[in-house]
Amino acid sequence: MGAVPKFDPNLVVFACSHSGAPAARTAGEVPEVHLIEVPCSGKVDVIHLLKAFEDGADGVLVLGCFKEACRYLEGNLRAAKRVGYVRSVLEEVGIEPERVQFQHLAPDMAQRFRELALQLAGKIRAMGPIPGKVKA
Amino acid sequence: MIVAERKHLKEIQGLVSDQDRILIVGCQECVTVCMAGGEREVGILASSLRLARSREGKPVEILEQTIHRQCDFEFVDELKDKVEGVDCIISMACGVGVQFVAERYVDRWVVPALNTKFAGGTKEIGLWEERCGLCGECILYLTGGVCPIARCSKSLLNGPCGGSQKGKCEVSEDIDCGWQLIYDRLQEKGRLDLLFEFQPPKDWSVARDGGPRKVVREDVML
Ligand code: SF4
Ligand code: SF4
Repeated sequence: MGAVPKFDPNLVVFACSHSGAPAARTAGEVPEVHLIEVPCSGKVDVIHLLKAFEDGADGVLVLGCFKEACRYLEGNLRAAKRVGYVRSVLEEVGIEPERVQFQHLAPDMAQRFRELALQLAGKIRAMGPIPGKVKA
Repeated sequence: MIVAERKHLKEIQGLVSDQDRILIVGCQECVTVCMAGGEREVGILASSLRLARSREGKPVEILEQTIHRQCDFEFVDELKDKVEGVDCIISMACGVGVQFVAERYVDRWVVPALNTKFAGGTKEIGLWEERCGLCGECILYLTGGVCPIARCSKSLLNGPCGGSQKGKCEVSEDIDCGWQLIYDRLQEKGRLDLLFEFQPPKDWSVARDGGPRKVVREDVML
């Protein structure tokens, strides 16, 4: 086998403006991450996650508040369910479902944000890019 | 409404594997409500197909359009412009919509993306249940508003059968015994007397057994 070419994954992070987004701002820049702030993680629908992959993401992370802390009561539960659904879609498509994740976060957890982003980046780096990626 | 469920992606992919330009058509009526073939599901299917095909190294061009109703030519005609640019149409309507589209655009390959299941309703978000067997001659007035055709596994008219156990049907413990439901409903309404009336066999010639059916209203025809 030849040497594995160096691969910098593109990560798209959908972050709730009450938790993930403030944590990300405090954490400062994480090179692989393209951050999209949303009013609530429940705003993120299945199609947004799929489009992220179509537009070249190698991994997608959705960040919502902790269980009882959602400003809109159930937005985070809906987001987690949708991520689960997208995982089943990816599986059907033939893409590793682990490329999309949902995680809970509080606004003051900047360090945890950085950890989660780097962990996912590491995982994706090991998986490599999606074959036949739609856009680079 | 008509309740349907989307086919697995692999099956749909197989139906259009040699097509490179596809129009996916959604319907804003029943299949939007049962979350199988509305605008949202059209987007998800289009995106999934694009991802799957690029993964195979066979990218595909997909157009999307969701119309008011696919079971009316009036709305099916609105697809005309987009149909011109494609070889194949995936209809995300019930079987009726698929046929109306196929009938209108005979020179295009039209395939269904859904499995049409039953006439039913939304019990709760994400759960749809069968309620009517489309028998052609409604007898809900005899059964307290619980349909023995659709809700008894054997469509008995003089139930229950001996398989009714603790409110469940012998076919599966996931199925409530339709005749237990009828009994409970009539008891609630104080009309158990209706159960003493013997029901003769139904006239199935007005149901599917009489062949494809038509409803004609000459008073509204021009
Ligand atoms: S009796 Fe016939 S028409 Fe009435 S609900 Fe049952 S199947 Fe439908
Ligand atoms: S158990 Fe009840 S629902 Fe099942 S076949 Fe018998 S009468 Fe019908």
